[in-house]
Amino acid sequence: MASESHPVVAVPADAERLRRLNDLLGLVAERNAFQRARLAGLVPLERLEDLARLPFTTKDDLVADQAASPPYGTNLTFPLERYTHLHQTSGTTGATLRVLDTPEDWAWWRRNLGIVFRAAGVGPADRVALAYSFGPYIQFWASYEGAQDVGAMVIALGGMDSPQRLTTIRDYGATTLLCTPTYAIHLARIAEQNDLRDALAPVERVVCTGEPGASIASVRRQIQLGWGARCLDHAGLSEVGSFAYPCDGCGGMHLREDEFVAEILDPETGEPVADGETGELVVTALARAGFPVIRYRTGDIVERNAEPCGARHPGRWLPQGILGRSDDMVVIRGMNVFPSAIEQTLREFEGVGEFRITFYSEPTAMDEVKLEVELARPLEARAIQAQLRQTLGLRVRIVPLKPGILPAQIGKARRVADLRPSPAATGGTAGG
Amino acid sequence: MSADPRGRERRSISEQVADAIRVYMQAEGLRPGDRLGREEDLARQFGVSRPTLREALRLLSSSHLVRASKGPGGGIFVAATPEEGIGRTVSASVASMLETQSITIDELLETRMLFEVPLVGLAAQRATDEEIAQLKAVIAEAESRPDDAALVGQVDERLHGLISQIAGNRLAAAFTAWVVEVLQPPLRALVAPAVVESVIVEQHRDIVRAIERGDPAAAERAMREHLVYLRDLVAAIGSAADA
Repeated sequence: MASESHPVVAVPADAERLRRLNDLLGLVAERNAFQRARLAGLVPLERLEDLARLPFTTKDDLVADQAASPPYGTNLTFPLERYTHLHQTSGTTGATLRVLDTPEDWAWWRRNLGIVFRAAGVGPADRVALAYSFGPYIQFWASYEGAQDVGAMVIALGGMDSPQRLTTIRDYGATTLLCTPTYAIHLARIAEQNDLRDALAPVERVVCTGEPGASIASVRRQIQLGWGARCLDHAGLSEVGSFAYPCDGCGGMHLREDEFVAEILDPETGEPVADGETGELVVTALARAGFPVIRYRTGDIVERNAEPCGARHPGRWLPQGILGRSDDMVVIRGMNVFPSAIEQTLREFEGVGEFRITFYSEPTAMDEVKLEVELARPLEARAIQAQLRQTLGLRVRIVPLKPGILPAQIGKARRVADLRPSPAATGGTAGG
Repeated sequence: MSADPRGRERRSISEQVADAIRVYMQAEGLRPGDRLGREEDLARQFGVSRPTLREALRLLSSSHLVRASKGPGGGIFVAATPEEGIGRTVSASVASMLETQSITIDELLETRMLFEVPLVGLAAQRATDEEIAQLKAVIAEAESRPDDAALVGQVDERLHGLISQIAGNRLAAAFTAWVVEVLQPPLRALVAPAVVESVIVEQHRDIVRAIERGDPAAAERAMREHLVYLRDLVAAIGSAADA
């Protein structure tokens, strides 16, 4: 991998990463009831590549463990009294999962979010507005910590509606906004509608996470135009940690290969995909000993890209960020379709508002795609249809709607419904 | 008296008289507005008592076929052609079903697809140059103001009515008269928050162009797309209301 200098991240040599991995595996194989049986006879590893011999961990595994041993499960390396932080996943893509952190692991979260902020160019002169609800979700609190780690002032926007958030951003001159890409677009629209455009002025950068999108060129452009600010992307999961930092300048993100061992695998076969192909990101955190995940199936689909970014930042570059979720992937007329790819095409058109994708079966058993979309320029409906056909090879029935008719999506968006009789997933676009 | 054309058993005298008057009207080629005569003339003509005749007229009037007019020069008049009568009867039934919510707008839109898609195919085969000019004149108005919701609604009504006329099947036209007479006002009100009028205008243009080209398959495709859009709007409104 390209690993030249970067102000905040340095990926150690494989030998050092192997040593850290074996330290973790040795510790958890001995003390962690959930991991002990899974790792028996398989550790330590001789080479980093031998990680592929270890079993995967899925969210279902962790959920089942917590169901069997409520409420925290057995993926705990230390006695319960060592843990100081309890969070849970949002349940966008399934059952709620509880994760516990020790003070050491929580400090690791803080450092890692600090790295996200440093990579985004945030420092002591900045005021960081967190447009989050501040429920029991780790992303909010880790961001809150991470912003302080770089010495910025933190402005929590919990318990406010969108216009209140905008006036708060304006009154305190927030330079940085954290939210989902969907919410960034929504908030800019609210500013337009409520004559609060001046609230957008102080914001220099929008740092997105929580769902795929901010690395998609068309979505990023929409956020940048709406806010007159840079748009940066990063990624993490409650179960895993903050595993990708924004690439400021080249777009997309970089995997934190200093803190995680990342694999990109075919979701069906579990085998590595070739360069240029897409696969599921499978991640092992090297340092989170209290709630370890070994070969965790993130469900995030990324393209395996061998090229370094233009600035040769360390860690594998994901120019398109996360393309979609494996549990969002829909097979339609024999083709793999990611709703995020439909969104990408949509956002290339101006005047596209809220939208909703429905997969359904005609009585003839033919699978169909319906795209309801609010259009400020309705005569683009046919152009969108043609573009979807060209880029995705997909025939989509477009239902142009007046703006404001569809429910506004502001958190983790739920814009996809699968009404087909076969077993298939519905729901959001990103994990906890 | 001829045999009961419907083969139904035990029909009352007044029903039989109503049928006879119906046959008489058609045999004489009477048109709406033509005078049938006074009650007493008709009673004599059909050889029944006044009350029996009155009951027969009541049946015909509830089928929208005759109307009574009082005063000098009054009497019983032809109110509608048989197919108009059918159309009005169907419209009245659909209206009451809608009012009592015993049928959904979506089911009515599905019914429209069953009728109007093949009808527009016929229209594409049968339209004369004059009729095509009429169709183009109707949509031209909305094309100049594609965002005027009221105008687009009026154009929509006129266009659908005109197409079913051009299709040249009077019975099918009668069966779809309820579309304009009953369904359009509540449908327009329902979809108003969601409909993009310029899309409707574009769909109208596609339909008329296909008729102009004499291309029934394209006309049917365009009509189906138009009606599917309306159903999609109803569905979008419904799910927005649920949310």
